[in-house]
Formats: sequence, C-alpha cells, structure tokens
Amino acid sequence: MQGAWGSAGDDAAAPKAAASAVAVHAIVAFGALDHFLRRQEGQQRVIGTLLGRIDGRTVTVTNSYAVPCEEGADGTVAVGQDYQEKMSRLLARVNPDEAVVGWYATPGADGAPTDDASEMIHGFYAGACAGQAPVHLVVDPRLEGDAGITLRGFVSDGNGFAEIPCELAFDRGERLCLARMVRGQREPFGSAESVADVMDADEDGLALEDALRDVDALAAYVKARRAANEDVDPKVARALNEALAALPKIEDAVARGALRAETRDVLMVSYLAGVTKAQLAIGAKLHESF
Amino acid sequence: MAWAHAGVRSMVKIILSVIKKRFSQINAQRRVEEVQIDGLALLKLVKHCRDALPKMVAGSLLGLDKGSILEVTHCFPFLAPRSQDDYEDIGGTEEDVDGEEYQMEMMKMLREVNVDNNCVGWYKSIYAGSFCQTPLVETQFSYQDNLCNNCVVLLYDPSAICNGKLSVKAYQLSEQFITSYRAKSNSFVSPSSILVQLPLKVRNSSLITALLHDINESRQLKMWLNLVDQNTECANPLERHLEHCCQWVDDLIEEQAKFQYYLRNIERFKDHARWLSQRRVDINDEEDDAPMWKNATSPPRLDSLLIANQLKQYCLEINRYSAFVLSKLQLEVTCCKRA
Repeated sequence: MQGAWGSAGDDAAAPKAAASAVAVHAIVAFGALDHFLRRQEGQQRVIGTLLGRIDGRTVTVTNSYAVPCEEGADGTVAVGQDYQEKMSRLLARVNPDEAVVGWYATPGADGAPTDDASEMIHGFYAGACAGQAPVHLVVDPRLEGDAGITLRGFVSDGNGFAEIPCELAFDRGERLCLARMVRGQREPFGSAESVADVMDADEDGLALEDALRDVDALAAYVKARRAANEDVDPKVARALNEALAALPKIEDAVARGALRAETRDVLMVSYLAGVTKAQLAIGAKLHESF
Repeated sequence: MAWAHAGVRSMVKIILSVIKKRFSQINAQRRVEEVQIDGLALLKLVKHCRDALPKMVAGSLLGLDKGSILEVTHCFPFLAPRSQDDYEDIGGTEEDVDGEEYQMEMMKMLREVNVDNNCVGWYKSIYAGSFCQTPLVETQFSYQDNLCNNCVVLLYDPSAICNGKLSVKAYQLSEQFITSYRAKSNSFVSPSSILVQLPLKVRNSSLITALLHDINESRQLKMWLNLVDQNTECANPLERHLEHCCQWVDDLIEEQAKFQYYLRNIERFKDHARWLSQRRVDINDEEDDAPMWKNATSPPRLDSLLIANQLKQYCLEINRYSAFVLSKLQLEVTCCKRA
C-alpha cells in the first residue's frame, strides 16, 4: 500500500498501462456534485481524488474525496498536494483496499472538459497513482441542453486526453438507497430539491407495482402485435416462454396443502409475537409498580 | 464495541473543546423533531458499514441543527482497531490507537473543503436489528449530555439488505430517561421511551436530484420482486427473527432472575426480622439488633428495560414480516388456481 501515495519520480521512466474503461459508482458522482456545490466563491473547477480498484483494464471507482485547488488568472494551478497525500493516508487506515486510481474535476471556466490545467493536474496524479496511469473523470454539472449531468472518462495518450467508455455502477446498497431517494419523495421530481422518506418503506409493494406495470406493458405489446397481425420479436417471445416455463408445475392438491401448512405456520408465529408483546406489556406494568 | 466506545469518547472530548468556546448556550436549544440526511452522507454511511462487514463499525456525523430539523450533511468513519503490525504497515504511530488524532485530522481536513464542521451525532452498524444494549445507551448519553442535546445516533442494519430493505433508523434518548440517568436513579422508565425514534428523511440538493432523475429515467434502479427465496445467502428472516427473539428472552429471564434473587433476599430478611421480634417478645429481650436488609442494593433496571424494548421491536418486526409473507402466500394460492 505504501506505493499508493509514495514515489512520484520513477513513473516517467516506464509508462504505465492505461485503463480502457471506467465504472463509476454512484457515491462518486454524488461526492463530486456535492463538492461542486461547496466550492469557494468564484471557483469554477473543483477537483478531487478517485479511489477504487483496477480489474485488468477496467477501473472501478468506489470512493472519492475533495482536494482543494486554486487557479490563478495567469493559468497557474495550485493543487493541495499535502492535503491529497494526508487524506489518502487517513482513508487508507479505514479501508486499505482502495487505492488512488485517478482524479475527478468539473469543467474549467471555458466549459471544455479538459484544458491545459487538466494536463498539469493529470501529471501530478500520475505520481500519486501506484499501479496504472490515472483516469480522469469529468463531471459536468452545468445542465446545458438536454444532456443532464454527464460523466466522461479520460486517460492520457501521450499527447493529450483520450476519452474512454465511462458508466455509472451501483452496488446493492447504493441501488437501494437511490431507489429509496426516488420513491420516498412525495411527488417524485416535483421540485428541484428532493426530500424522501427513508422509514417504513414498502419496497415489496413498490416492486410488485413495478412488476404489474411490466406485465401490463407486455400484454399491451402482444395485443398490439396481434391486432396488427405481425410477428412478435422472437427475442421477446423466447423470454416470455422462459418466464412462463419457470412457473413450477406442482400437483394442485399438493401445492394447496403445502401453502395451507405454511400459512398456518406464519399465523402461529404472528400469534406468538402478539402474545409476547402482551407479556412484555404486563411485565412493564409489574416493573413500574415494583 | 469497546473500541467504538473509546473512539466516541475521544470524539466527544475533541468537539467539546471546540464547541465550548463557540456555543455556550447550545444545551438551551429546543429539541429537534426530524432528522434529514444528505444523500451523499447516507451513501457514505452505508458503504462504510457494508465494506467493513462482518465487523460492526461506527462513525461520526457532521451537520447542523436548524429549528426542528437536524441536518446531517456529511459523515466519516471511526477507525477500527488493528493489530500493532497493521499500524506500522500503514505508517500509524503507537500513540494514536483510539484514533483521536485521526478524528481531529479528519475534521480539520474536511473543513478545508467547506464541509460542515459540527458534530451532530454518530452512526453505528447493527446486526439483525438488535441495538438495545447498555453500551449504546451510555455512548449516546455522553453525546447528548456533553455535546449537544440534539445529537442522534443513526443505526444501519447491513443484514437487511439481502431482503431488499434499507434499514436506517435515527434514535435519541428521551428527556425523561436522561434526567433519570443523570441522577443515577434506578427508577422505572417505560421501555419504549428510553430510546426514541425520530423520523428520518433523505434530502438531496438540486444537482443531485437532477442526477437521480437521469438515473431513474434510465431504469437502472428497477427493483426485483423477491417472491421466491432462491438466494440461500440469507436465511429466512422470520426464522432469524425468531432465533434472536429466543436469545433475547433468555437474556430477559437471566435479568429477571436477579430481581427474584433480590426479592427472595428481602423476604429472608423479613422472616429473620419477624423471628427476632418474636423471640424478643418470648424471652423479653431488650436487645436492639434490627436486621439490615435495606443494605442489599436493588439490581439495575436498565438492562431488563432495554431487553424488553428490544423484544418488542422484534415482535413488531415479526408481525410486519408475517403480514408480508401472508400476502405472498395469498398470491401464490391465486397463481396456483390460475395455473
């Protein structure tokens, strides 16, 4: 791990392999946008360090942190090198599996994703990354046109930046959190800022609604095709066939018997839980008088 | 969890020194009624707790209390204890074993990039919904008593994720309990009003909401209905709940045994006193040796109250889950009939 922040000098001699694709976890995009909102007054570009792991030629970015950076009017850039190294050391004490893999930035004053200053900062990060050449993630929060918030990945190809495929990735926890942030809103995306309920989520009900909506869409599709006397896309037909075949074929009586037994079990458990609650209430009363 | 406790203590110590200078009237503020956590902080918390599995970890929450809302805008992990070798490997020094220096540094570093620098509580990962334990109450008490009455503890249960649930809860100690605990009194506090749950909401800035919108449009957040329990990695939650329930009942019985022992002692002393007074009447003895049964201290109630609350939580959880299972079964019955 020592190499992750050490030795800046010896990388120039042997060029490191560059990544060919980058997967960015949602937490990183959130972090960059949050950092952009917290930027100093008048500051255009915010930068930060990307942490993650390298699988072959794909870089997975799982965490990030903000790094202070100042741009002078004359094109000079000052990156908080001490800050970057210290933070990297602090975070390595919590999770030593994440190494520095690159850096993120928002576009500079002229709006171009990369410019001369990016080249300089990239040079600095080449020394900070251990295993591989750094990746550069550009998070564009300007919301120009219909683009929304875009994420683009770059690597250095010797005489400039070359774009590489970049996609958002989610682990299970992130997916759940994001789904909650969307579904918990009283009126999804009715306002610019969003506030969502976290508690008492009926995820199963929502998932069921989703599934029903899909079934409806599918039925509508099949109906439309039949009405138009066209063939259904063989891929869809095959998927449908597989889904229907997945229904287990059990003897009716057996199935019903098993279900009845299970229902009885669950009712029993639920009844016992009720009794326990009553006991606890009595216990509390006794405690109180004691 | 002793280390988390130590970590928390040093945290409290640090912030106390900072805060005492800045707000002397902080305890006079009114209580918050709701907790709002930034999306980023929630993701960070969930990530830390998940990455650290199977270890249970804790961390610090940064933010601000604003009127009736406590805003949590950032969080960072506490250090988990390591062996001495690990410390040397990553360049740590011997003195910083409980991470006091680390926390101090982290707060300073975050302030440099304009992150809120005010501690509003802590978070902790819990296993399978059990959280009513004395150390947790003690730590939360030290936060609310020393730092700020509005401090919360966020409890995240990483094991709920395999049932497709996001389980994060915000808790505070009630005023009533704090008063009684501060006075070190052993009086009765209703089990459900020791730790009080606060509504928790997640708030996102407009930029992040825009990103969420894009992600939602791309249908990457689709939820899969977990009707068939194919994934063997997590046992049936009902079974797991029952198992835990049994363990907690055993604990409760153990606690109750202490009370029974105490009562028996009192009875024995009373018998003895009666026998003595009887003898005094019989032989006309003027000796005054009143028995000292009051000296026996009554056992502390806190543990059994907490266990009772925990059991109640499990019962509620079981009821909730069995309602879901019942509707699932109903669905299966209908499916079977159709097929």
